[in-house]
Amino acid sequence: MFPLRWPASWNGVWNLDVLKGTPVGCLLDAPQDVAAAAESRGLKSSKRDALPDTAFVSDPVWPGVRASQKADVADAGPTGAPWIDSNGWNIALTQAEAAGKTVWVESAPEKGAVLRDGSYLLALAEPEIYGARWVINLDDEFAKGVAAGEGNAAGRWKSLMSAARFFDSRRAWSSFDRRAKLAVVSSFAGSSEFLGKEFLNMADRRNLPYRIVTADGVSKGLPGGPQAVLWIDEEPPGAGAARVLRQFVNDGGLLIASRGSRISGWGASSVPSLIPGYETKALGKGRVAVPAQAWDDPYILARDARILIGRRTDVLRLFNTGSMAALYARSNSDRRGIVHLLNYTLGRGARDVSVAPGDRYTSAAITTLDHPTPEPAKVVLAEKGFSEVAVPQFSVYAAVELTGSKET
Amino acid sequence: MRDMTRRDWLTGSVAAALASGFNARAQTTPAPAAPVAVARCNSYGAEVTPTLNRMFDQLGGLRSIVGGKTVAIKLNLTGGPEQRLGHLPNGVTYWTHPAVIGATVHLMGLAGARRIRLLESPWATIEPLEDFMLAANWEPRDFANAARLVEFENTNYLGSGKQYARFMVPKGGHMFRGFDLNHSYRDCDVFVSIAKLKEHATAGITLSMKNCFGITPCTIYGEGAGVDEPSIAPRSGRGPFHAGNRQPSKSALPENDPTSPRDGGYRVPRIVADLAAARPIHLAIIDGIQTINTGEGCWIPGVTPVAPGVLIAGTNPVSTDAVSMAIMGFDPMADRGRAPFEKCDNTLRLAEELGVGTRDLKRIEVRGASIADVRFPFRAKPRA
Repeated sequence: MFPLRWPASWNGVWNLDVLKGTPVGCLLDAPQDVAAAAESRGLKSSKRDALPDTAFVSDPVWPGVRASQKADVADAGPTGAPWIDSNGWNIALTQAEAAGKTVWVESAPEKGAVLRDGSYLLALAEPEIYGARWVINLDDEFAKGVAAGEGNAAGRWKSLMSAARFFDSRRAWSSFDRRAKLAVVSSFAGSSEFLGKEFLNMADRRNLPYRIVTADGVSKGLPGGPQAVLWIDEEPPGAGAARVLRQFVNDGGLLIASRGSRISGWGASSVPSLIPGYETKALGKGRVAVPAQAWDDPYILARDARILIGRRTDVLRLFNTGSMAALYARSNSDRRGIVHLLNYTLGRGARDVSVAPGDRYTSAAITTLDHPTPEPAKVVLAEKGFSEVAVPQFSVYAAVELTGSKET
Repeated sequence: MRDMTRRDWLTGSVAAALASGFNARAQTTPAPAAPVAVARCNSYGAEVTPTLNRMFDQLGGLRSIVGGKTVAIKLNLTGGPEQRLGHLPNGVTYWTHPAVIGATVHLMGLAGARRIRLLESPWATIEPLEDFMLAANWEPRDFANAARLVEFENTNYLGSGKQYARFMVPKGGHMFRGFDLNHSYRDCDVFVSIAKLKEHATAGITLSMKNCFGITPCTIYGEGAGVDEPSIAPRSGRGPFHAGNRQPSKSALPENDPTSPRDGGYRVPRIVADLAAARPIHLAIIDGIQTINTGEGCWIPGVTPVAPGVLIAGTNPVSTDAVSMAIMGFDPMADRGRAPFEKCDNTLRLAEELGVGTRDLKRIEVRGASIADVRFPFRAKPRA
């Protein structure tokens, strides 16, 4: 069931006919008469601030490669690659901070923006791969076109609803366990807000999957059996958190901690650091790495974390993915896995992509929004347990379904 | 060969030659020649190790080259580990294949190499070389287990060294009098270049010498290098070598003539020749089993996978590259304007002028298969 923000230009109950037979099941902030009529048709209706079990992602962006002022040029990010506006990290953070709640993303296109085909499909697909849901939010022109049954708008609406049905029928994927070897611990507030949040954004760009643990939640333990923990805040952990982190390192984990955390005093003996600018100490079976100077650049922090953690235990390797997001999740109940791929360029550059999850699988099938019927794909067992699958060209979203997992 | 010291430079004939207007073409001593071994090898399977072993024997035996020595091997892992040509692993397109690297390491171990260090300067990163390999879905432990004491180093920055090592170019160099490099290029007795048989968009060809363009750290010579001192980490590629838009960090030696052409076709071949003279290559191995034509990587438009099915090795890099060029269907004596040097100078000629080796096929003994036996023309017709 998808929520829909009632378009301002839909000024009558009769506009509800557009929703007949679609996966739209809830209207947000609809006028009273529409809300009443909707409920009589079996649809839910609510004001946005009257949904206690739903958390909204704050400050969502319209996903895509950021358009440049210059014609035919995309703005570049710090990597020199095009800058991508994405909500993935923000969804994950909202899920961590509002555990147990449904997460909705109400991103809307900028007024007057000229949207490419597929832009709405990306807005719908992005929250799905992270287990959240988009509040369908049409721009004025699109909404008017849909209401009028105008050909182009009607076609785009039809494909948007097909995509919604596609994800609705595959909701079980969101119960799969997202694979990550890094736990990121922060309050994500105050002086840690910029560094913490932007680190998550940059880590997504570096294909460095993570679980988020709030600073006050770490004393309860580190879920998911991480290999590394990143303590971002410039304050020392409290007694409970320190106990958990010490135990984690003693058991063989890597703790990357801020300069101000005072964790540099924990280790007994210095060991060679993998990269310049860090002091690394051994503690029990594990290591503690602390920077010589306080972090201030999330891009550099994401780079350093990527290197300090290393590639040996990658959960997913990607080839030719360019401006894409990827997420690998695995079923805990059976031997199934899923790799989601989102193409922020909406078709351009999504060629010759290969994915290689770090588990062994025997068969694969690929589904895209362009071709929703699963197509079998060959699994090539690459080095030491990685299963490589070549993905055919796709425009917005592709799912690589894997079966026969044997943990490596 | 002893590295030239700054005192040698200041007091010796090199400085005098440069001061009087060094003209490498005027040198009369013929550049050295050495035999080159060539073998047909159609796959990266079990045939690689015995084929290389036979080729090394044809060169006089690997033991005489590496026995009891510390060996540094420069690989060719150009571009990023997550970039590929199509869905093909990079080893069968534009990287040296792991089977060739593994076989070489194994044979060197058997020949008594004391320590083997695998080197590369991965694109814009201080990531350990092993991790760079893992990101490409390679398994570095396979190399580590192929011989006793195998090490890895990312040479695109200071790495595990305390300071950069300076290498002076004999005869003053075409572009640079010397280069500051990662310590691993100094801390070895034997230097080996394992390259791929490829064309190159800027330099015409990329073989054992052009492979060593990548021994230069981008912390000093790259786009984001420090102005006064080397940067801690490389931030980009070697654009300044191509375009001459900036000088290296001031801690390193500047260009000989900052008013020389800023054209990559002029600059890159000269820098490659200078590097081949400054950091001599004792063994050149060229993987031509599977490769690409037209350019050096997937970022060059129109590159296509090809399978020449050949391995080439020699103890002189100019001679080895000359034989390789002939196998590719090119004339190593060609100069600017003739394929594959339509828009650049001939690196082999420039290295020959520095006394590194001869490119004259009449002076090079080819052992094993003949050039005619394995010839694989990279261009069916001349390219515009």
